[in-house]
Amino acid sequence: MEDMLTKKKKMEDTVFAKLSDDVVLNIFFKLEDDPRNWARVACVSTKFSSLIRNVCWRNKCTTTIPSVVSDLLSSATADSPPGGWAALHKLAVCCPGLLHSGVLLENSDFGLERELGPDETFRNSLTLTLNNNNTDTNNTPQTHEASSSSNSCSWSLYDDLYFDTVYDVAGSTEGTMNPVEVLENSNSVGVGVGVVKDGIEYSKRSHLASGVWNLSREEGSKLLARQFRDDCLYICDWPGCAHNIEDKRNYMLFRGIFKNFKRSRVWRTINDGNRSRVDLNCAFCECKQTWDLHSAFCLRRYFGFHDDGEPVVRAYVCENGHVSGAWTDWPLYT
Amino acid sequence: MALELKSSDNKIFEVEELVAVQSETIKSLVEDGCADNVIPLPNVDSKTLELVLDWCKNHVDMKLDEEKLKEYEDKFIEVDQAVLYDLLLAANYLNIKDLLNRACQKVADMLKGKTPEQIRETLNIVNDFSPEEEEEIRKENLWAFEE
Repeated sequence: MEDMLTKKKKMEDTVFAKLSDDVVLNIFFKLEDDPRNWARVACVSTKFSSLIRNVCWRNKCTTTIPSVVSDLLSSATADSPPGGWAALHKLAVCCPGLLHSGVLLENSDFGLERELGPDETFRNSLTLTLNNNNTDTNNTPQTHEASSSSNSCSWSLYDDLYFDTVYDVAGSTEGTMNPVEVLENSNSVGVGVGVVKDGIEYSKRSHLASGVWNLSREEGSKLLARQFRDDCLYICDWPGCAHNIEDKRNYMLFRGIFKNFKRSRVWRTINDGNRSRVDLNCAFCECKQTWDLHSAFCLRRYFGFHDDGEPVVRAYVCENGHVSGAWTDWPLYT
Repeated sequence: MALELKSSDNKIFEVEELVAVQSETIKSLVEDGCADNVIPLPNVDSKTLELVLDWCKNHVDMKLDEEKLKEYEDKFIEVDQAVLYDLLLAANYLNIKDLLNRACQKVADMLKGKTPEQIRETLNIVNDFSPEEEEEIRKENLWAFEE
C-alpha cells in the first residue's frame, strides 16, 4: 500500500505531470464528440476531474445551451449553476432513466397513500413478503412479467427489481435505500423502493439520451399548470428518450431544469405547502430526495390519467431545480 | 539562411531558417534578432529534435501536396508512447502547432473507449482520489460506462 508521498513522487515523474493544462485540454477537446469519453476521463484523477468540470463541461454547456447557462448564472451566487457544471452537462446529455423519472415508483395507488394516509393491509402484506425474502441474495436474471394492477396484489414491478438484484453496499449506485425505512416513514411512497445496483438494466438508470441534446423553455411552459406560467422551466426536446416496459406502456422520458428555482412559484408551492419528499434521488446531482410535481398539482391538469390511475405525465424535482419525468401515450378513450 | 540549434545533449543541428521557423518559439527569436548564434534548446534531446526537424522540413517540402503530407504525418506519428510524449513536450516547448495537434490527436485516440483504469495505465497517472471521492465520482458518471 503506497503512501501519499510515494504516490506524489511517482506523479511528478510522469510526463503528464509535466504537461501544461492547455496541452492536456487540447487532448481532451479532441475527445469531445462522445460525451462518455469526458465522463470516463473525469474519473481518472483529481486534476482531470477538475479540468473536465471547470473547463470542458462548462465550455460544452456554454456553447450548446447558451441561453440556459446565462439564465442559470444570472441568478446563481456562485459562478456555476446549481448542482455544478457536471450536473448541468449530465442533464443536457443524459436521460434520467425509468428509475429517476419515477416510473418505477409506480404502485397501485400512485401516490394516493401520501395524500390519503397509509393502507394498513397493503403495508402489512408487503412487510411480510420482504421479511420472507430477506435472505435471498441470488442475482437471478431479470424477468419482467406484467404487474397486476389489482389492489389486493402486493407485488409490483418494483419488487421484481429488488429481488432480482444483489444489494452491495460498496458498489451501490443511484436509488439505494433501505426498504424497511420506507415502510416506517408513512410520508413516503407506499411500496418499498428497491435497492439498485450495477445489475439493474441499463435503461432503468440514467444513460446517454438519444436525439438532439437541447433544452428549451417553450416545452417547459407546456408542462406546468397555468398558475406557474411565470416560472421558467427548460425541458429537453420532446418527445424525449423512449422506453417501454414489457406489456406495459411506452414511456417518454424527459429532463429539465428550472431557472432560479428557489425563487419560483413551484418552489413556494412545494416548500410552503410543506410537501413531503420522495426518497428518489436526483439523476443529476447529489440530492437524495425529490418532490413529486404531479401530486403537488404543479403540472397541467389536462394531461389526465389512464384507467388504472397512472398519470399521463409525472415529474420529480430536486432542490437544485433539476427535473426528471415521464409521459405516456394518451389513453385511447379520454 | 541557416540557423544552428543545440539540443539538451549538446548536439548541433544546422537548419534552414524556413524550416526552423515552423517553430513559433524560434520564429520569435529570429524576429527579435537573437538567432545569430547557436540557439540552445535545453528541453529537447537530440533524438527528439531530429524527429521534430524532419517534421518541419517535410512540412516545407510537401506544403502543396496535401495527400502526401497526410500520408507522411500518419506514418510519422506511429511511434511508441515514450517517443510520442517527447514529441508532445517538444512541440509544446517549441510551439509547433500542427505537430502539437497531431500528437494530441494521437494521444486522444489512445484514450477513446478506455475505462479510467486503462487511461491511468496508458498515461501512467496515479489515482489520487480517496475511496469516498472515487465512489462518488463513479456514481455520477456511471452512465458513461455500460452500454
